[in-house]
Amino acid sequence: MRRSALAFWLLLIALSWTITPYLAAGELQDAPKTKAQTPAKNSEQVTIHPSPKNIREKTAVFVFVAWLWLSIGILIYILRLKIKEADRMFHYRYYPDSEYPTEPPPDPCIKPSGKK
Amino acid sequence: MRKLRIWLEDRLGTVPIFTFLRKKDVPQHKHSFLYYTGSSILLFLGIQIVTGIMLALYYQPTLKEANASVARIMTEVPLGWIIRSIHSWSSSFMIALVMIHLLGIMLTKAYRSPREATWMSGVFLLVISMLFGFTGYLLPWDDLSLSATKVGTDIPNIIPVVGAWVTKFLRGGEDVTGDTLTRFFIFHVCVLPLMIFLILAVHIFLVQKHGMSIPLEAERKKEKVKALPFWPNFVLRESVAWMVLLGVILTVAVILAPSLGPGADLMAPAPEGIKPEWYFLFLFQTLKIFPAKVFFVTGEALAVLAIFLVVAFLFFLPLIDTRSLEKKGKIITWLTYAFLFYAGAMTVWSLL
Repeated sequence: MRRSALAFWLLLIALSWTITPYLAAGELQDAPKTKAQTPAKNSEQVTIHPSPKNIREKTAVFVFVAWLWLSIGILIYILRLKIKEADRMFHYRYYPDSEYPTEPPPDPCIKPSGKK
Repeated sequence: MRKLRIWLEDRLGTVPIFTFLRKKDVPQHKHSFLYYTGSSILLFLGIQIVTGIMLALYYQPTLKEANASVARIMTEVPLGWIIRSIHSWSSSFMIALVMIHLLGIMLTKAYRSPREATWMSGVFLLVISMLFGFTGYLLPWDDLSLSATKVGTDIPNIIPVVGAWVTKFLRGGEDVTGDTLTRFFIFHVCVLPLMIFLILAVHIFLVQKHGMSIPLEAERKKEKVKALPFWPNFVLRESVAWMVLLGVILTVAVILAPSLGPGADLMAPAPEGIKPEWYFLFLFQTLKIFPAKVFFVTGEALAVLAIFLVVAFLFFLPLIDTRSLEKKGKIITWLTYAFLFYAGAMTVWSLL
């Protein structure tokens, strides 16, 4: 075991020794000596602010966000129904006992006594 | 369809996995929200992968084209600005969630035996997530990202013996150039994803092996904690959290899309007000507040040493706090709050 560990470390050191100059070489794309080599397209030196360009795009963005939240709202409503159903099935031990890890939680559809 | 499912189950041997997931339970207590933070990180990782691949279709990691290609993505590619915005915001959300997840585990002392390796892999994942942010910040190749990368890659230089080599390795030379851009791109899309997948697999395996932690009081009193079946009860609840997070990220990405500065000029002096991403601000401010020289050591070296010690402390925390479950670990709790206060104060100071 010790020999194999020693061999492993020796191999690792040898590999590192070989590969280190390659990793540290770099400088293939030289730093420019003048300003000429700076980016081509965005050379007007302006900051691009991404935003809707006209009223049509602006409306489309807000319609998209509204549609998104509406869809999420509907999905959450459906998921809540599913959760209630799953909790009730768990409570009434619908599946074999071997599939349940612990005691069931209180029935979500029955409110605690004293509260209406 | 059924035949295909059976064929796949036969070939892949997935039956034991599904049986395990069906019998898996998730404890329910006052700290249960931590479980949701853990799985929500996966949602953002998924978003990062999808949007990252979409951006890589048009991005060109060269000195001449990097900034221009991002500009093209934002102005010419249909919905390109939203994809870039989602990618950018999703990374912030992911790192924030990883931090909340780790802080929660630190406060509940869930890192104690037998979950030491789970914690250590989690700290690794935090570091990798932050490295994703650091390498990704340079890719738009604008003035701010170039200057921030210069500052960032200069930090290892302070480390004795290997520091200079690490800086040269990161930059691909003495200075930040096109080579640095190529390297950061490779780290961002190849090296770091491989590392995160590997460590994430180990982390998830360890979570399944040791089970989810329960509050200290319950574990101390050997109380039986209520639990929900993972499938479908927990997964359905998790889906609700994912839906809300998805809505939040898309809304934020649409309304607050990040801008793109002018292409970086390697010959130009550093612009005013260089700032890294928000999660590096407290480190950035820490480096700034140290005096130039303390006795015979430079302030920067001391700051870097302090940061390394904190990271090492975080990583080895389960080996430092090896006390039994009877101990509440108040010192660790107070240290966590002190660190939170310090990081918050430094971030605010840096923003002022």
